[in-house]
Amino acid sequence: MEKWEQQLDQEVNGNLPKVVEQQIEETLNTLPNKKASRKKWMYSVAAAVVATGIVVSSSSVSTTIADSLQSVPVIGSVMEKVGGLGEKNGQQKGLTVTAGEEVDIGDQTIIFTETLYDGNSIYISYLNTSTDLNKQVLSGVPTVMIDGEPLRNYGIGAGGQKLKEGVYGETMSIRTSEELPDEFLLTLGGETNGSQWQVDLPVEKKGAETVIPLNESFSNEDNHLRYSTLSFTSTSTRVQFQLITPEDSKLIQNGQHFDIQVEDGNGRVLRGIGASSRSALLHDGTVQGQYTFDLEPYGEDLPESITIKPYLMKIPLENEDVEPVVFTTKKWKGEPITLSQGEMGNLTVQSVERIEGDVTITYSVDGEDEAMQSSTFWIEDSENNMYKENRVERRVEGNTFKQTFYDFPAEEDIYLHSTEMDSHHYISNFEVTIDIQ
Amino acid sequence: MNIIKEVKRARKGNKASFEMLIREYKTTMYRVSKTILKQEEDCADAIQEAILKAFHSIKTLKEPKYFKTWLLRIVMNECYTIIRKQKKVIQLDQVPESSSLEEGYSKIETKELLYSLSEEDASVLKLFYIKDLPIKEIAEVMDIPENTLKTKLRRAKKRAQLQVKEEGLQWKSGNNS
Repeated sequence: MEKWEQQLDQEVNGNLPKVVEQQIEETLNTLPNKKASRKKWMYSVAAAVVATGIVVSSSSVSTTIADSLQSVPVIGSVMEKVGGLGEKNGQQKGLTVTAGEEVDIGDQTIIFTETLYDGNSIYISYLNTSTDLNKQVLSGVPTVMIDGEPLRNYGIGAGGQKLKEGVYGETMSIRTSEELPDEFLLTLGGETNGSQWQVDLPVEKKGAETVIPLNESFSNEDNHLRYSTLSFTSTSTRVQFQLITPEDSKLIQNGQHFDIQVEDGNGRVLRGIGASSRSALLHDGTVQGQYTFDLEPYGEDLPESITIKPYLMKIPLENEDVEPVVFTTKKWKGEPITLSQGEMGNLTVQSVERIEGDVTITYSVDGEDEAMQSSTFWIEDSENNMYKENRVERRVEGNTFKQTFYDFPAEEDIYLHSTEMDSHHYISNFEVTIDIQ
Repeated sequence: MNIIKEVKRARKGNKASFEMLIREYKTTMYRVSKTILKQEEDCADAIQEAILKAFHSIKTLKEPKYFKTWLLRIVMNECYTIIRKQKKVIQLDQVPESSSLEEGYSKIETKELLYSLSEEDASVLKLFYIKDLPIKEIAEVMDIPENTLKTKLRRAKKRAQLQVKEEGLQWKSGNNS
């Protein structure tokens, strides 16, 4: 490279100036939450990884202040209140470790309350005393250290919801393929506006883990699927497989959503709580994808069998004519009421309990995919403000679920919402039933 | 991050995915904007407008794999819009940017070199040297075939080399400020 080229190379690869970075963050914070108006909306509910971009404005080094937990007007476990199905289950089994670490960030405080590690994922819960969830949530991509050593390969997901005015409860999950010790000090750190923040959290592996190697292969035309493992921990039921397809396979084309439905021997369809995949184009033109699906965990007793049913869901392309979503909306009047979910089935709201701003709704679903059906539900007030911050509904028993929406206006009527959905297109050649016991 | 997956989610209205994508490409957005605009504040404005436009029109993006180049093209369009507005006030093209000694001699020389080239040559060269922006993507951003871009690039480099020789620009070994 000639001298002038070296100089040009340096000049065009300048770092992002603060003024630009700040304006980008401010712009992102002003983006409205979109309320989907098309049929595609429903496809995100199946096994989506909960991930929220998070920004910290400034920070200072943390200090241990266990007392501050008492000063926050939230009673009970944050992990239990706002965590996903996995975190809730882990917390209920007493597998969490109290953290009690506090970080002051600008005019807000982040209080780390609990950690949970089951061998699959690390979960961290925290309270955030900001006035705006989008602007002040902690995460982004913090650096992660295990016993002082940097963790190199990891993914982070985060989500949460408003608990009370000025108090948000959130959880963060860290997944890694690296081997971790059974007990360690987890250090999270970051830099905001030039100032460093860091917090040390105790983590301890708890709970039983059952891993079942599968090694079963199936073919459908030129597509080949090999199930690798099925594992059960306190926070998830995990299915892992490899899918090898031609580059132009229908399974991986734009406009198709490849997913799995997992059902146990008792007919219970498991709710997806997270999914990840990575794929590579091989020299021979085939695409090799590694898929991991996390679904709701089991309690003490594992099921006798698990059936995995891969399916394709058509997602209309942008240039295709799309039928508008048929929303089903009914006002709660104190009596059980049924919402149609189209070909998929029905959702019936059994009861609504209101305690101040907390609205807890018990409902049952009846149909083809109770996991998808139960998650396609939200409430609105009379001004069409949507309440769907709660991340996952809780299974009460069988096909009955319970979901709590926080900070709903006390005087407002409750409008119950769902949508009509088409049936799945199952790929029967890929279906497998695994005997567990 | 699985870009394709996040783009698909963003198209469905997932704001968090859209934010992640923007954060992934923010530095490239800035570097591309800086090839057209001189002031950081203008770059920030162009990127802001581009983010808003991308957010509201991501549904029109047919192929998720083109998200990056689609986004960068929006950034470039916003940069040109800003230039057009500025030209209404003053014909900046006619006014060589004043140099400051604080910038170091080499930077001034690079600017002189680029100014001596045609707008297209300078633009191609600047984009070419941006890291994480391969030729294939530059061609997509500029909406020209890859081979055409390579030809333009060869010519632009040759002209730059000639300028260096003809103008006798002496390249210092770094920033001398």
